[in-house]
Amino acid sequence: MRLSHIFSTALFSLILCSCQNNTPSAAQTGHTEAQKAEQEQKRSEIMAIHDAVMPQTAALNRLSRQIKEFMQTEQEAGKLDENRQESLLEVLKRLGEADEAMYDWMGKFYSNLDLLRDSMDHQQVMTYLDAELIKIQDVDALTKSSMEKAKMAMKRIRNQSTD
Amino acid sequence: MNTLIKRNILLIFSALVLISACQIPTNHPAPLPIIGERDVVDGDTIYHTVPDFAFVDQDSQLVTNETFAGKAYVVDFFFTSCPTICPKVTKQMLRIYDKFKDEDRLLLLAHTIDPKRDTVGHLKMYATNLGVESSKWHFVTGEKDALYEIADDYFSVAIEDPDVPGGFDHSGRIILVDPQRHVRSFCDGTDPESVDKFLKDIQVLLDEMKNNANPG
Repeated sequence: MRLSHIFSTALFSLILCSCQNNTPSAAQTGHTEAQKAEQEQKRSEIMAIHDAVMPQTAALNRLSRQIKEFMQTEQEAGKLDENRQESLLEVLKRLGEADEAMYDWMGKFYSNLDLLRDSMDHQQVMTYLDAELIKIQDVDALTKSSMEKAKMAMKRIRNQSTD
Repeated sequence: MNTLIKRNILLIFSALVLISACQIPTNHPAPLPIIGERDVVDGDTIYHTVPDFAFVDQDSQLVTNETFAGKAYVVDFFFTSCPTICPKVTKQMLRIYDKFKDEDRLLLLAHTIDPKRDTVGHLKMYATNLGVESSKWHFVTGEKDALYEIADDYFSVAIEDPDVPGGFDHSGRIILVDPQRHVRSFCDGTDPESVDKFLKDIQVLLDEMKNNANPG
């Protein structure tokens, strides 16, 4: 009776342990220190681009507000023809898309490598980070090009206004 | 005779102690400066003043300048999906919250700069997870241009050139505003030592408010 009690307790403990081990952990997926360092390096590469783009979002919004203000002033003065209006609206649209791309990327990016390691092996983590690197590079390019085009458009239109 | 001399020495000594006690510096910290541009109009100095604003907080309550009438408040800008700077700044804002949570004359105001994702519901969840009181710490959202515009205004004071790399939304600055809407201090919200000094500045401002309320 006593032995059977010990046996059933041991069996129950064994079942409980095996149930709790269903979630893969870092140890289970076997990330070596070298692999972790490689992942960390890739993550740092991504964050360095993020850190360079992020301050630009304030400048981008400032530019967008300047264009809206300019359009309103020109409109009130009856100086904003259809072509210029369309051109500026297109510029604003591109600025908005770049801004949205940045926040959308940040909202979706998993920066916590430990969380990734819990459910992915090394190759999967690297594949994920490689894809995210391309995405943030695209956001960077979009931000720069939209701001450059906006500045050029404003310069051109301001020059036309003073002609 | 001896007794008379002793008494006189005691009297002189007491007088000296009293005089020196009066001369001991009271260690009152200097008042905080009013930061930002200023104009002189008809002999009066006009200081930079925080403009009117209207946003909505985590309880869907309208938050305006009136919300802070007669109070000092601490300002920062953040967004909940921010992977780098904001979590560090929020940690320091929590220090400020904890130190002054029972101080009725100080409130906290955090603006999201990502209103699309940081909805009222999202901000509510964020505030709840932090375990803070809505009446003390307002997390506000609004129209994106309005949020960036007021950020530019606050930070035009705290950053000499807002166009320099590392613009306002990545600077992690925390700003202290007095009841007259003047910026009185700011710190680097990512640097605990900078916040240590800022905590003292808050107390200096609160003492100033107390003295102004009870002059003499």
